[in-house]
Amino acid sequence: MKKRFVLLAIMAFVTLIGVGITAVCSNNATKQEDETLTVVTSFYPIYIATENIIDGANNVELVNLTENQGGCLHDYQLTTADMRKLENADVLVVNGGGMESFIEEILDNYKDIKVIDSSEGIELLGVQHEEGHEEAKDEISTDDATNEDVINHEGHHHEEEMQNSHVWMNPDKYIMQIENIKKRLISLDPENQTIYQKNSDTYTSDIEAISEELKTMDASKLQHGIISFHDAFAYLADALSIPVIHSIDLDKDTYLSAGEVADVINEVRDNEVSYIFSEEQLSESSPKRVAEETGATLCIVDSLVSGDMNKDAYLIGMRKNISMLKQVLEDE
Amino acid sequence: MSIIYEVLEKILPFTFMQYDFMKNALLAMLIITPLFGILGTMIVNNRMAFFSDALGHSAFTGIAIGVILGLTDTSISMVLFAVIFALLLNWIKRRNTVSTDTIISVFSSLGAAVGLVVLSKNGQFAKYSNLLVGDILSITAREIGLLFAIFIVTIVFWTTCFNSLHGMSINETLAKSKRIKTQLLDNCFAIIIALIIMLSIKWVGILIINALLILPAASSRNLASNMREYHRFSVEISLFSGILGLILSYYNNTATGPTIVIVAAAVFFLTLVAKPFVK
Repeated sequence: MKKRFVLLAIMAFVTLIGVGITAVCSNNATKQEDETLTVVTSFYPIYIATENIIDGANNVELVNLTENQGGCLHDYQLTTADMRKLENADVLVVNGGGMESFIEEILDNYKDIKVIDSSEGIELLGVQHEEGHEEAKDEISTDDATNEDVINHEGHHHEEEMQNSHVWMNPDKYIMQIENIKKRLISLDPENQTIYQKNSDTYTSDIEAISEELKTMDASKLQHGIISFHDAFAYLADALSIPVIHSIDLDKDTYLSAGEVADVINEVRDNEVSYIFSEEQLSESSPKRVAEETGATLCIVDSLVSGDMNKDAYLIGMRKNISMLKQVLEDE
Repeated sequence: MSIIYEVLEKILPFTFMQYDFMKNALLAMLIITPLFGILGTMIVNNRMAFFSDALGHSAFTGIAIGVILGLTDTSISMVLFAVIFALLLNWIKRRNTVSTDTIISVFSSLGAAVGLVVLSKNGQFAKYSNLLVGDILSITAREIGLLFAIFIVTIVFWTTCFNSLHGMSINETLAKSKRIKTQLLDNCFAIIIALIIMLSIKWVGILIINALLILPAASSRNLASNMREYHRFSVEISLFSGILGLILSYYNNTATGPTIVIVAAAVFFLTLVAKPFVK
């Protein structure tokens, strides 16, 4: 009996400490409001887009699901707080194209949530693996290197092909995403129709300006092709009609093996590539090594997957990318 | 399933019970933790802590095989491989050529390394990183059913084979002289451990699963003076840590698995302190 008592005392003690810690750390749980339409966005670029559309709408609450996540979502894991956001959600806006694979299973449990797939009907670029080499167009020269992703400029899709879902990096396609989100939002919440319409019109015109600026840029210096260290850049390259010779999808914390670095270096030399594009959030070591080895210029692009919650973050980021590109093009 | 949900809501009128994912996680805890509590006692007795750890690591290779074979559900290859892995380990262990902990360590590192090589090819390892810490919150009703099935199997095994297992853990030669089929029993036990670890690894995680197997049993050993107490305390501590850890992780927004381990570890140290006073 004594032991029983000791064990219970220990359990009570641990519970007390746990509750104590919780009480100290807790910052009053948010209350549920049922009146409002809760719109949850899957991640940063979608949040920015949606924020611009619903700005000023009545009774609409916008929440971003993966708040503290830098980088792409491929390996994201939901926390209890994220799950709570989903429980309260009425609408979930996703990028689509496989970006939110982590959410798919979970959504089976939440049948009531209306999902807006912003890339619906937008043609995605493919990310091909070795098997698809023969189908790749002649402007892409490849070798038998392993781990090679080649951008398919023909745009025809194979069933087994992985899709590149960083759609927002092409301003024209980003506009289409906004259009998609707006249309579905209006059908789900007709009361705010005028606001949605007005907001997305202004925002779209801002992006169109950026798109124009991109199109007027003289990218002839890049016509040799570039090598990109992140899939996101493929869309920007598409907008500029620059061929991407070799694209490696590096995750935030993966590194290229020695053989892969050698392959990339060979690729750079064979094609006389003089520009390598990497992403802000990636580790710079691999791209840097390639650049140093080959004398190519390393350009760091912002793929706009994280940043502050500023409404104009997309516009600012894109302008930054454009001025970076301009600098590169005007150099020499 | 909806009936169980309703019952849970009636019994536990807390805010976290409004959420289906918390109900699922709680149900899973109610099944997994007693299972670990029971199994842990024998693992601690037989000094097999390292063995279960090696099995956890083999999950990587199991999944890698599934990926190579192009299976849609890699858990099949994972379970099959773990069973083969466990039997092979037992077989080599019995040949007595190298000391047990060395051979287990070799298997453990090989199991992890092969899996990592295959899975990290193409830089895709991030996809599998949730195996390391587990994700109890994404468990579905069907998977809870599977866990329940293995729970029943374990209970049946325990009630029928406990005496022989216990005999074996005290002295194998003695057990043999009592006509206990030690080899068969040992293999059955290894298979059960393999099944349980593989079925729960996605929810609990490789880094944490062993802590959950060992900590409750070890704490219980600090207090208990006979087999009955040993089992009972172990199951109780395991359940307690699981549920408290889940609830604390909900309110503090921490990862669930590690929170449970911290609770279990706190209990362990307290029992260690209390040990001289009760024994």
